[in-house]
Amino acid sequence: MGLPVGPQIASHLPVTLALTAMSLAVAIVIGLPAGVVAATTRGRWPDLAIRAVALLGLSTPPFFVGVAVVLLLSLYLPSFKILGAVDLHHDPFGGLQTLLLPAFVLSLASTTTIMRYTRVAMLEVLVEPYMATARAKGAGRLRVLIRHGLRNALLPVVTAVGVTAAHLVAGAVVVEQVFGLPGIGQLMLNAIYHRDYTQVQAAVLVVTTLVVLINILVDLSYYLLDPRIQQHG
Amino acid sequence: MADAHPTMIDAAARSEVASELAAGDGPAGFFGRSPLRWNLPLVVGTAMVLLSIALALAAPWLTVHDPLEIADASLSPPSAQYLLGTDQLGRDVLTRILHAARSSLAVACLSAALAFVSGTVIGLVAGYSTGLLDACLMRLLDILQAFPALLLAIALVAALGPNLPNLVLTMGLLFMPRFARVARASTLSVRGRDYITAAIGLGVSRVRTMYRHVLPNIAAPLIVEASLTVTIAVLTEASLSFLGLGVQPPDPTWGGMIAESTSVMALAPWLALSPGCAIVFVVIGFTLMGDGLRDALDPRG
Repeated sequence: MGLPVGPQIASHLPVTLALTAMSLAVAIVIGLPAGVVAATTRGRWPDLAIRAVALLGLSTPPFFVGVAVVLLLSLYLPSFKILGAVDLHHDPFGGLQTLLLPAFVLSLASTTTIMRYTRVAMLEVLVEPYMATARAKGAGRLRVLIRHGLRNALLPVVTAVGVTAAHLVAGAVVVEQVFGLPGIGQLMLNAIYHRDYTQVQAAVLVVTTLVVLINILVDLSYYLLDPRIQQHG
Repeated sequence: MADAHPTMIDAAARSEVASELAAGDGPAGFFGRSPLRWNLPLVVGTAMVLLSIALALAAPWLTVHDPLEIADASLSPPSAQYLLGTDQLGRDVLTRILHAARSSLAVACLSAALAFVSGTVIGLVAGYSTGLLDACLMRLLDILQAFPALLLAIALVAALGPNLPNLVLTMGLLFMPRFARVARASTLSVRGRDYITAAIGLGVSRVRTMYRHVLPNIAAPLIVEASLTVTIAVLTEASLSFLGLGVQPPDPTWGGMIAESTSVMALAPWLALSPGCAIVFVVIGFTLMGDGLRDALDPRG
């Protein structure tokens, strides 16, 4: 088509970024508490239920969930705006609202990953002596769990967030296709169907750069979370 | 593999101690002295995997219709004649799902096998040689892993052309670093053991040491990784074929069937549902098998 690649990427990137960021937020907001609950109720029904749902979430391709959700909503909630243009420049609120459902669908696998990492990390922390000490000196259950438990279990969870962010950016390509969102994924797939390999290369490069940046941020956040790392360089 | 391999005895002894320590864990060595301790996820997962593979292999003899045969009625709901209904061209959905299982499982298992073999060799060599070769190999893998796998798969398959050999090659390449990392880490932990030093002292060649003495002792984590890689391979293949980059029509694929169903979704919801359930079934099977294998093979229990 003869159009320069740069502006095309620039116009499609915000949707993908917003979608990824929202999915990550959803994944953390659901995955973290679910992991803590599963760890504290180890072996009892809340743990088993959360792990069963997690297994299902990890085993279901996001595009299938997307198709199913679109189908159910269009059958039973016809007034709900599912598909359509997203204009983040002129109508940021409406745009984000349209992105909410795709973000939930995309976040499924990441929620599961974060939950699994949180659960394992919490299980290790829960048996630490300082947890008993904190309880013994009279701190409340919830406070011990969050201030003493979660704070120390956070490092592997942040690693999981980094890993999962990379999956989210790539998964966005597929979910954008399901919901017809004008993001990098749609740009890339259209480029593939038109055999426009310059565009494909640019899209892969931009998204990969994004993933590498996220991973650098995750590595840097270790310094904030664990003061010991700084001392050992 | 010799019976009296030091780590095997180690592992068996430790697992016996572990199962004695764990309350309510059946009598040690119920299944003999096999290092594999069967557990529920392993049994269920293996059964699901074997069932899927058997159904895929037997697909041509199980089905009365042809995956490309066009029946009288298109979009007919599930009935006795067409158990899962027919699609918009009037092809039997059950037949297509069973035939799609052949290509989906073939792509997933072959790419995982390719990644297993190439990744293990690279990881073994890197971990055993260390130094410059190790550093070079690992940096190459770093570059490969910097790309999100699905994204690179889409671009590579699009460039090479979407067909079965290219899918296997691309996905095999993308999954290879996973095995290389596991193999390297395990090799590093094994290479200083006494039995390796003994083998070297006896004059066993480097290649033979790696193959006969290191490899059997790092097999367990690699087998677990293989099972979990197949789940990602099935999901990746489904995503690719959903985007039209899998095995090409008219041959059926699960992802492709879901993509085709979206245009007639409101009229025929069963079209999207059944291939989706097939994907979930296979992925859960391999996941349970992988988790079960990890528990069964890990001597720490």
